[in-house]
Amino acid sequence: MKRNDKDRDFKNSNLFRYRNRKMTEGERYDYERQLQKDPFESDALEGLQSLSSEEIAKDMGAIRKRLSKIIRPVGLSKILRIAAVAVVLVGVSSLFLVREMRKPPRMISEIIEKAEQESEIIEIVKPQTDITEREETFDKMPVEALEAVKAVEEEIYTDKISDKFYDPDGVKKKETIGGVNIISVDEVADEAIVTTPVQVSKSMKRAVVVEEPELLFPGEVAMEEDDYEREVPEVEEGEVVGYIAPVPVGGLRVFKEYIKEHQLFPESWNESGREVVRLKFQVGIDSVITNIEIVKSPGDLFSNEAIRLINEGPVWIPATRNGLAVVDSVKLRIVFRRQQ
Amino acid sequence: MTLRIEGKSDRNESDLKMLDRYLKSGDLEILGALYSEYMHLVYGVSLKYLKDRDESQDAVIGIFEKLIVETGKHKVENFRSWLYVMTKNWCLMKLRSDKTERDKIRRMYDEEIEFMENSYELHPIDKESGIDDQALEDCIERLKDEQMQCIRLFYFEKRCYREIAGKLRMDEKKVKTHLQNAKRNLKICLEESYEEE
Repeated sequence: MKRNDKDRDFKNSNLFRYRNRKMTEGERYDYERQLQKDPFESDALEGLQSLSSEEIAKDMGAIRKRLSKIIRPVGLSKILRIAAVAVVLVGVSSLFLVREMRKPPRMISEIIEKAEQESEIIEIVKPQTDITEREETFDKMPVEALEAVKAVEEEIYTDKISDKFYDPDGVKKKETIGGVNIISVDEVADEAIVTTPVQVSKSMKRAVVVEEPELLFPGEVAMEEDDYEREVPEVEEGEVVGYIAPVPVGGLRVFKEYIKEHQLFPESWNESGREVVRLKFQVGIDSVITNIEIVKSPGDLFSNEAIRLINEGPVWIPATRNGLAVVDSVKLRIVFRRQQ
Repeated sequence: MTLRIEGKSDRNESDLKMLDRYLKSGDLEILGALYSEYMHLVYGVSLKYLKDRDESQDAVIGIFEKLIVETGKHKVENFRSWLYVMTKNWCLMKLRSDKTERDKIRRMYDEEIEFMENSYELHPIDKESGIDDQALEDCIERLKDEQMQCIRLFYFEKRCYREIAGKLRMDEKKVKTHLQNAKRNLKICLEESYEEE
């Protein structure tokens, strides 16, 4: 990376040398002349004035680091690797499932029988009652508990299957999720690994877990895992939806104050009355005001003054639709009234 | 409207070449290299408006991401001024979306009139031919004393802010403000005199 080059470039830049007072009077002058012509640089200088050189260097380093992540996403290879592993696992496990499912259906009852003999948990809930019981409890459960249950479910459906591959010896394990001890697949039925029946028995276990809801509340650990595993479409926080009309910076009240303060009256107009100029103009997406159109005015002198006020007044923030700047026109009334 | 920066046309040309290379290849490295030339300016401007280091860093990143999207959509004539306008808009939008941070906008308001003026067109006095202009000279005569002194010392005697500050016994910031206000008054005065002709 050319990072050091960039740092050196910046340190040698006029901006940096100026703010660190490393210029001769003559250089300062030339640079100041340039600043007068170049609002980009003079604004930047003004902003950077608030920081020390070290702070600037640190911040620029941080920005460059983040930028290079956009330009050369380092994480990509990592993500690809994870994705590849996942694909392989899914492929292999689905092969297993297909093979196991092709076996005659009696297999299921056999396994359940076997499981019933081996595991006391399974005796509590019969497979037939499983679904209804689950639904009931789901209804009663708060959202957090539901999430935790889902997390447990994920654990069981995905992780356990893959664990089995990492652990070909079938070593018996205990998993702890949110403080709940869950006996792993291996313990239920050593022989019947990743088959549908095992999943059934797992959901039964879930039902058992659900019956003790107080154990589910410390489910944060499981939830974290859950968030990590799944890609949930996110609605960005603070996203602007809908239409917002153009407004002057500071709001209309400030704008009115500006008008009051800066409006000039035609010399020929000595009345103590009140005149109104109604006008229309467009605010571009770059805040540039165009197409100023006088709708109603007592005379050119007033019109011109109104146009001057708009042109020299506060910047208008463009209208937005769903957060994107759009061109829109604004109608305004400018009232001329001498202050008493 | 584009911002004219004299003596920078070479720079602009090479910017546009780089931009063109990026658009043809889609290689983010090229756009990144171009952007990094201006990154400190973007950061500085963001700091000026957002007045927050973290937010400003986010802005620099956000503006680059926007750049990726926008470069293909527009015909860019001057990259530097285009980026400047984009940076300001990004900051204004940001300030607007933070409704709770109205006070920031308040603080910014004071600086806005100046911002309006110097954004789009070069002031007559900053143009190379500007200083000899008789109309300008007349208008300078009509300025308030301090403003006139600042203008004379800066544009005619070519003194830097610090020297002027020392000479007139005032703060450097004050010198800048006087110059700014003087330029505004000159502009109004010049416009009036053109209308009379």
